[in-house]
Amino acid sequence: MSEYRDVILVSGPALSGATSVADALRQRRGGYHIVERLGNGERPAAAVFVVSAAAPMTQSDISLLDAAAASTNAVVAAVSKIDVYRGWPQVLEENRALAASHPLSWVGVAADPHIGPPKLESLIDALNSALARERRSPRNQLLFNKSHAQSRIGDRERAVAVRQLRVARVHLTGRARAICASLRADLRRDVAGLSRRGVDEFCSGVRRRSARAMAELDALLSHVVDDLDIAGIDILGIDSAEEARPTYLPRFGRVRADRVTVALSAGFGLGVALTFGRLLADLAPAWAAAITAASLLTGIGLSGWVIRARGLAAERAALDRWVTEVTAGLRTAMEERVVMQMLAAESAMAAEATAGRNAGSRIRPRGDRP
Amino acid sequence: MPQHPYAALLGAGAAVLDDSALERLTADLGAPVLVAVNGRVGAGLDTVRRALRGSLRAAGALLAGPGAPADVTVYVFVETLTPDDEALLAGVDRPCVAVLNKADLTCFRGEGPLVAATARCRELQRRTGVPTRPLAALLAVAAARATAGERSLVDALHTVVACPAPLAPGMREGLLAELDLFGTAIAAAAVGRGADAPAVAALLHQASGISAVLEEIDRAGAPIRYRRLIGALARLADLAVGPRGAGVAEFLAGDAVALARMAAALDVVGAAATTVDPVGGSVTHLRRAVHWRRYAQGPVSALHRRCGTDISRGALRLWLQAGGVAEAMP
Repeated sequence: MSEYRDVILVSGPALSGATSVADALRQRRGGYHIVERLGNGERPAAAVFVVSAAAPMTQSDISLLDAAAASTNAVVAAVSKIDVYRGWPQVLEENRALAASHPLSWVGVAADPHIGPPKLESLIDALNSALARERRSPRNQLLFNKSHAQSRIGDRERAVAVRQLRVARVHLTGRARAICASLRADLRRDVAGLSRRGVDEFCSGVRRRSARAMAELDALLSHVVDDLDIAGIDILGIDSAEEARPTYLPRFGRVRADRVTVALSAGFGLGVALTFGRLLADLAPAWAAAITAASLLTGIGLSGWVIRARGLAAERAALDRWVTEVTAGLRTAMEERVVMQMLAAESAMAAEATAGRNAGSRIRPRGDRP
Repeated sequence: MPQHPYAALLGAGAAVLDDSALERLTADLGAPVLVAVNGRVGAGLDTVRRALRGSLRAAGALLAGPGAPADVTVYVFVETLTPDDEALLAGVDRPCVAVLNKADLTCFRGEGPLVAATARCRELQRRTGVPTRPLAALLAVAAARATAGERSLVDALHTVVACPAPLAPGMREGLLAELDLFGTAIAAAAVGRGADAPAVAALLHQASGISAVLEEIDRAGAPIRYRRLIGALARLADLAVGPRGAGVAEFLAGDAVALARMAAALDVVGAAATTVDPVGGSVTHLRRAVHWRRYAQGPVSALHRRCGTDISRGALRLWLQAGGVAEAMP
């Protein structure tokens, strides 16, 4: 325990004379290590808060006093430069009223006086009695240890939660990719067997299925967030179906291709009609006129069939490309969603931690000293 | 001694304006800049108000009542600007002067409190961008009272110098309350050297730093005075129409208006006031006109652009008066 007792913190706002008070205490209070700033994990046995006698404390000074009083219960507040500011007793009384929530002993000091001898006796007396009081009731030390221990536990929990968040992000991103890959495979398989009549239905089906995939991801996300048990975050307020909807339709830009198909198909039909017409006409010259007409009709029918088949193949190819683009877009949206959600979770966690720390320092009991 | 441009403006206006318009113009030009004093609690706001009250009137400004709208804010603080002070200063939306009060108690070592306070103010001004000046309001108040002929202070100082030991407690308290340590020290030293009451008052006035604060308030009020002049002249333009408006229109286009606008604009940009230089004057004026014309075309605020134009115009009038000859463009 003794190593906790050998530090005295001397703090105060800028130009308050804290450095002079610290120097003077160093000369007169040899048994203690006088610091103006606490090192990491350092716990002061007592704190001296120095504020200038030029004017009563401001709000920022009071927050500095709060900070000093948070580390120990043995706090002495000193109004400095009393050699110069003759109105220091009034300032001291006003400060005492301003810091009424802290049961402090207030003293006036002139640590490095410009006029007259140094006046430190009352500070040293007050410091001694505060230290003696602390020694009589080490409860504060326990409280301090407890609060530190609690904050250390809190730190560890936070570290674990951050790690969980990172794992969850990797997992969710992987899941998003898998969902998109399987959706694409399904859709491409459907495209391969698509009839011409089914194109419109297929397009609306793609939208439906991408919305469903997004909903699946959202369910996963909320599940993971529930598992992490962080208060204060919701699934991002975006309509997922809206977000997942492909913003454009497949492009069937095939006017030029159609003309080529028509020309080739017509050639093919004409060739078939001529070949079969001449063959049959040679075999049965009496039916020549009927055979010519029939083979011409057959040729025209063949041309139409080839055109339709070519058109369907082209549409399937276009749909195939579209499906690839849509699923790629969906994957980007999903990954972004995962990242945003994890970011929200992380900042909610940080906010919670900060709030918890503040609340912890505020509710520290200190009013029931002997 | 050349006449003040505003007086010349009113003189020229008296010839052409009717009584009510002239009265309004006089009131507009003579309206005081309202100064509000606020700042850190316990920084001596009341003393600063008392110190400024008399001196401001002489500088054409007036102390605004608490809570009343003001043109310029004087922000009083002690020792240094706390984070609260800086936040408040950053939030002030009108011209502002920061005043380090109790400057006489800053430091009793080295070159003394006033030099230390001035250096600190310079540093704070560099940090905040708000003009910052040291002030010992107590000394300024004492100087004003000594100037007003109050004998008690100088009598007490004579007693201190003659024989410090039997100083009555009441007198000692009175001296400390009125002059504090630094003021008593310098005033007693001056009395010991044989200074009379006016000399002591002058010394305290000089040591208080109030002149610099007033100068800074005056500078902060310059844009307000310039805007008031522009507004008053704009209202006069309404009278420049109609059968009797020719005289007013001529007045508004005349030298008196141009020179008054130039003077107000020079105050805003902080340039030294111009006087008619009898020797080689015309060249100086022309050069000045060109300089400010170029300034107005540069990357400056709208207010400064207008000021630059007004200064340039005024300088051209002065150039013509000094014998400059405008040549026709070839």
